[in-house]
Amino acid sequence: MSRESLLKRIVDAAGLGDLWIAARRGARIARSDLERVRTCGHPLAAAALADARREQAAGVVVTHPWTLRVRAPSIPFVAESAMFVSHPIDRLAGVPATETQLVGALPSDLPLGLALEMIRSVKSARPDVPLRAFSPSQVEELSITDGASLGDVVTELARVGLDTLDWAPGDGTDGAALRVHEHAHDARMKTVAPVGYSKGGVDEAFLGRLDAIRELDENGGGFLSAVVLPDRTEGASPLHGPAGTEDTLACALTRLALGHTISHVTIDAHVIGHKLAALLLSAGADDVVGAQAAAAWTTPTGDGPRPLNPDRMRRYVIEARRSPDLRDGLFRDATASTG
Amino acid sequence: MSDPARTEDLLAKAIDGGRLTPDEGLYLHDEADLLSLGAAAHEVRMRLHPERVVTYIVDRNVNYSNVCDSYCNFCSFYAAPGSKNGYVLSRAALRKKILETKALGGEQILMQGGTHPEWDVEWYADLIAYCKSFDIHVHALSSPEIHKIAQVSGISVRDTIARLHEAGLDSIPGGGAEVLTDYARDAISPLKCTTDQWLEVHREAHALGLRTTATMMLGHRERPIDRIQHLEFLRQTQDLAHENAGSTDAGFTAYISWLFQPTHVLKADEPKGGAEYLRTVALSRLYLQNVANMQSSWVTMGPKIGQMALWFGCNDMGSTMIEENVVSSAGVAYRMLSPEICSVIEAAGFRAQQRNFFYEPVDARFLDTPERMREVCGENPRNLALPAEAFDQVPATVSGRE
Repeated sequence: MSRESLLKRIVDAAGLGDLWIAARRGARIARSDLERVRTCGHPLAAAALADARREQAAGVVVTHPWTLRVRAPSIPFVAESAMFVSHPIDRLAGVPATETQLVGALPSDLPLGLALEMIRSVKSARPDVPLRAFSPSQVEELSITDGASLGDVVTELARVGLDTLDWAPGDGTDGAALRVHEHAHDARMKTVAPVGYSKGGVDEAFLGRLDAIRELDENGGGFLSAVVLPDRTEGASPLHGPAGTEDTLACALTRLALGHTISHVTIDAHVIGHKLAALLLSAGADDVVGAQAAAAWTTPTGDGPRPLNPDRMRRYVIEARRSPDLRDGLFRDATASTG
Repeated sequence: MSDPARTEDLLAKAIDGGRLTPDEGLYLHDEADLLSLGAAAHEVRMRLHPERVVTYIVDRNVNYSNVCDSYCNFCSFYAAPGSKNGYVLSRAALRKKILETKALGGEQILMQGGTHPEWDVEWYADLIAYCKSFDIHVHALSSPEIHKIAQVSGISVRDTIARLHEAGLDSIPGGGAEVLTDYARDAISPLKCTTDQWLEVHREAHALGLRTTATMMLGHRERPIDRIQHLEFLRQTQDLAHENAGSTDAGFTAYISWLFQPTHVLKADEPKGGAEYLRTVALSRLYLQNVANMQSSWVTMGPKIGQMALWFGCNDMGSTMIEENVVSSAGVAYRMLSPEICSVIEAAGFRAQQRNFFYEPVDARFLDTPERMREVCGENPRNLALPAEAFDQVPATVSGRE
């Protein structure tokens, strides 16, 4: 009984044995077969299938960016916590990173002009690394505020230097996000597909959303990865947020549904928690976001929650028996630069 | 060097109920992949507990004192004897905690403190008798405490346990084991009882007919071989208990492993992650097949990994932890109440069943539904404020000295 045969036996027992070869070959898996995986009732069987597909695509490599979180200029920022470190725009130089991310509670009536200015400012301060900013729902709000079409908004954001869209917990639970991504792809922007779900929401509609994502990618590409996005973060009560088994199943289904057309499956450790993220590296995921760049941590790391820095990220990846590999915001091999 | 055929043989052996040797356990620890370990551990768990039930207990961690002269360099809870930060709970405080526990449907208190340089067995017998007067299961005093009590009292470990049992001690928790090798203990708790002394307390308790639990705190200075040696010692101790009792209904009721949270002197150490925890849980299930129950440590790992551990060999979600002071002093603050634990269990595909210390089913009461929890806590489950009528549900058998 080899590793494969033990896991194959688990998969067989879950009634999914006929999918084993398809998963290992990276073939397109039919919606009806995804439905069988979804309802198999054995999260490790689903994980084993997805892991077989991941292994075929990525081997032992797990990629991760080194993210420099930038406070949105002119936007009031909530107090720093031990878990999140961000930088004002005039202090970005010299901080090693492979991508920048615009963070802060953007108002829903933010004018497009100010959004464009924010992008110009960040890109001016750190032109060396890609910028990730504005989730699909924020793009929609910009569109509404300025009365501009989604396509025009995304085109303008790309024109001034935005490299890829951001995401937020729960993104992608309706079809609206995909329309924004479609416009982004039309503007030659590569993006990460949000695969959202809520408690009890890894259902038929979830498979429908995966179908929509893969059809969009099959008809023109544009997705760098798909990010698994529960609508509540790790600390939510289990009465309100998705369970670990749902996260595992969502991750596995994402890999199985999209693996033939989208190369990566991403876990956001800040949303799903770094502990579960380590497990999901054996359930189809091959990319983890969450390692933060900082010149100096604002909170001592002695007691209490610790920020997820690149060293810790690498260690968790190695504990999961994978090989960490630094990437930039566009999934290109990278070494950290300081701007 | 990894040998897939050997991994294959060893997992098959464990699934079939075979005993892994220390060398074999170490090999699987180092070489087997996470999903295979989990899948094999789940098969063993389903063989031992085929009913697809996951149990949990409503109880409270009561720390009667934080005064301790063991000075473990991983602990951020203790206060040295004479320190202004030291405390001892009053009888009134104990009474309130026990009544709250019973009002919440609690079955037991898990009571531990430190190793005190002066308190003898009669001091502790008095404490135990007071708690027992509330008609609650008293699961109390870890091996290091009992060893220290024996030392201070100038009596044997067996006589110490017998006296405490006479006073009302029902069972002994597995705290203070950390990792049971002298190499690991010298690194993190050189002044606490030795491996042999920790095991002696459990052997003597088992010989007196008491049940105990076993633990491992992993992820500090121990090596992989230390974890395996720890499991081997526990397995041998359980074998002896079964042999002496002529029954498997003796010895350790359960095994729990949890992750060390770096603080205090060891604060520069990095905590281990979810993969390391689940790997160790699964390996423990494969290795320790003579211990019936294995608990998930959601308190240190969070509900999500705590739930996934149910697919890596665990059949029990442990305690609701109405109160927990030691791990939370290290910055870990996961909390769940009964309806949340039941939700986690059921979402994992199992049926939730409240139990007592002996893993016998008991009826859930008071906080038995999400709706009732919402009435008591509002929208935030952390806002537990017991209404006065909750205390009316406490059986009127309370007596004891104030």
